[in-house]
Amino acid sequence: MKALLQRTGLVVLTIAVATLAACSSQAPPEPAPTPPEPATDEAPQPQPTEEPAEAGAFDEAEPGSDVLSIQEINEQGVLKTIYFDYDQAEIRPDQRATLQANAQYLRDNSNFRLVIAGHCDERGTRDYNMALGERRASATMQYLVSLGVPRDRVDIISYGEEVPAADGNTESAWAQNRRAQFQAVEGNDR
Amino acid sequence: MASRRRLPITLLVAAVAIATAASLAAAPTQNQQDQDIYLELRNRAVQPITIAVPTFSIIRGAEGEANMLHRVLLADLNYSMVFDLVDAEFYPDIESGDGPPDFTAWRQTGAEALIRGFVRRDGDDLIAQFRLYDVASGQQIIGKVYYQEIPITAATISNTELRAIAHEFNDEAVFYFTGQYGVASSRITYVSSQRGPKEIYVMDYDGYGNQRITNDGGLALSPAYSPDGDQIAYVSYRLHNGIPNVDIAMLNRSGGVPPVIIRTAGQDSSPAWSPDGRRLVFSSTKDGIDIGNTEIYTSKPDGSDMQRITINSEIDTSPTFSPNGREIAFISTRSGGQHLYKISIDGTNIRRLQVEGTQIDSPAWNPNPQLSDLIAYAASEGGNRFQIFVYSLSSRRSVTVTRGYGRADSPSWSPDGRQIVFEAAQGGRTHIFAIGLDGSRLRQLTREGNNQSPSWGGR
Repeated sequence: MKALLQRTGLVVLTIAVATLAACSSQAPPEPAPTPPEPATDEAPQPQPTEEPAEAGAFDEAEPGSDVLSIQEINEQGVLKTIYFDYDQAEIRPDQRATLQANAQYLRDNSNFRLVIAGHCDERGTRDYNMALGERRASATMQYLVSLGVPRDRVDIISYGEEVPAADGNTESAWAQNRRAQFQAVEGNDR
Repeated sequence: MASRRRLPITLLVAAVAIATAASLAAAPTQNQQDQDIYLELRNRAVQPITIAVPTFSIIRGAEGEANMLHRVLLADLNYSMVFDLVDAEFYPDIESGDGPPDFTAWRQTGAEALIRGFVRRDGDDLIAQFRLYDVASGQQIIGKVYYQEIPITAATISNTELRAIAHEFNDEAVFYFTGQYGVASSRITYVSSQRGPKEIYVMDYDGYGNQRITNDGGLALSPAYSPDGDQIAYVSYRLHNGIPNVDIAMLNRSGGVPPVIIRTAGQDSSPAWSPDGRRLVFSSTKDGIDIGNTEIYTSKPDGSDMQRITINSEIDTSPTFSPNGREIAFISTRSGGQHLYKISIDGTNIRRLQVEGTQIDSPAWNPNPQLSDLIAYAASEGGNRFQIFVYSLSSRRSVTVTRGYGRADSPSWSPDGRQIVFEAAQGGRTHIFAIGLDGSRLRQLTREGNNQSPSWGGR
């Protein structure tokens, strides 16, 4: 009666746990400086099909004014990213100036549609972060609408934690990833 | 369905003691109550059969094939949660030949079942023969012969074909003892960035034979394998009229560009199947776009007959069907924080489930009707330390199945509900792992890139 069993025991892996995140009870982090380009090696930011601006759009501009094409708007980062606190979708007071500037640009340039993309940092779990990104994108849209941007000029989308702007498990990377990004696309008010 | 036939247990006391020791190995720092839960989970999967599988006999130069078949079959039997392997160290010192086994010697090892294999080449064929015996009675229970033609251009049959033979016999052995086929021939779909942007992949349940199956060029997420293994629903970010739109698309075994089956004005995501394959459940913002509000909906697999399940201004997401298809478990922030709820498919009887951990997410309801009180989920046990938990609706207890990870997420049950596949962060990367429902038999399935969001499919 010597039944001795071979069994694959549970292997306890000692993993270097990432520095624990700041809770939302801490003071909000300072707004990040101009964010870096999105990481391109693993999850490039999906880009819409690029098409040249219609000739008609240029005709509408004031003679001598500096009208950018959709591609130029995106490449030059004219519409600046805004940032959020951990697990929050509220528009921070220190982000309002950026949104006002973006709204102003939208009012002055009507040759494009706007896509607002909500993103999260890597903490937490995927499904919840996808929903949180939705909240961030819609809160941003509502703020712009309150500043006069037509609702039907805007589309919203969430990428959850799937497309980080900055890699790494540091406070700095996380702060850069909790964001709403703005993308100009072809089309106008529907 | 064949009724489950049990071998006479001659070592009941020893078996219980050994199972307790095993659950200690799985939970070294848990108190006695949790140890009891692990043991209970282990035995609810099935009363394990003690089995011995000596090295296969090789006739006429098929040594490499015999060794691989033996290795793969041993792993399959072990992972199945149906068998406990007798340590080879205690096998009797017997000549392996073609004659009957020495059952007297095998009984002394505690083995209740025995498998012998015979592998040989015969002309252009590789022939693998397996026999499963009841040790107590000395009777042969199953005898199977597999013929596989060796291509003219190859030295032997492919590893894929070899592994498939071992998987097939494991599944037969599991069927004999449980009345359900084993899952060694099943596959897992997942998201990987191993070759560029995130796309959908499939692999064998043990991590072999991985291949990419989408070519969307942007982002493909959240795959969900149909119970019959013929379809994979997933979240597609392909452009629609030049704008990235988040829809649910369907991959079919026959291939082709995956059609979009659910496209609303909102963002559609987190698809899951009912265990009978007749309904999809998913989350969508279509009725709350302006406030980014996700709700739960069901539909037919072609996207028609869409029905709304939740009505609530807070986040409702990450749905999973019960085995009988009449209830859905999901995550909601309606009472502050992320909590686990269940609801009837007519939208009534909402009940919050008091489970352990915080920031609950990604519930997966066990698809086996005999294990239908079990729901796996991901939750924090403090800070960013997320583990996979299993909750029992009948005992209202939760246990952690994983240990020692920074972040475990996205659990998915095997078709027989005895194993769990999940993702976890390890060494700066995210990989797919599989484990028994009691936390034993942990193994890593992916190696390259970052891999996430696994879903376990049928045969």
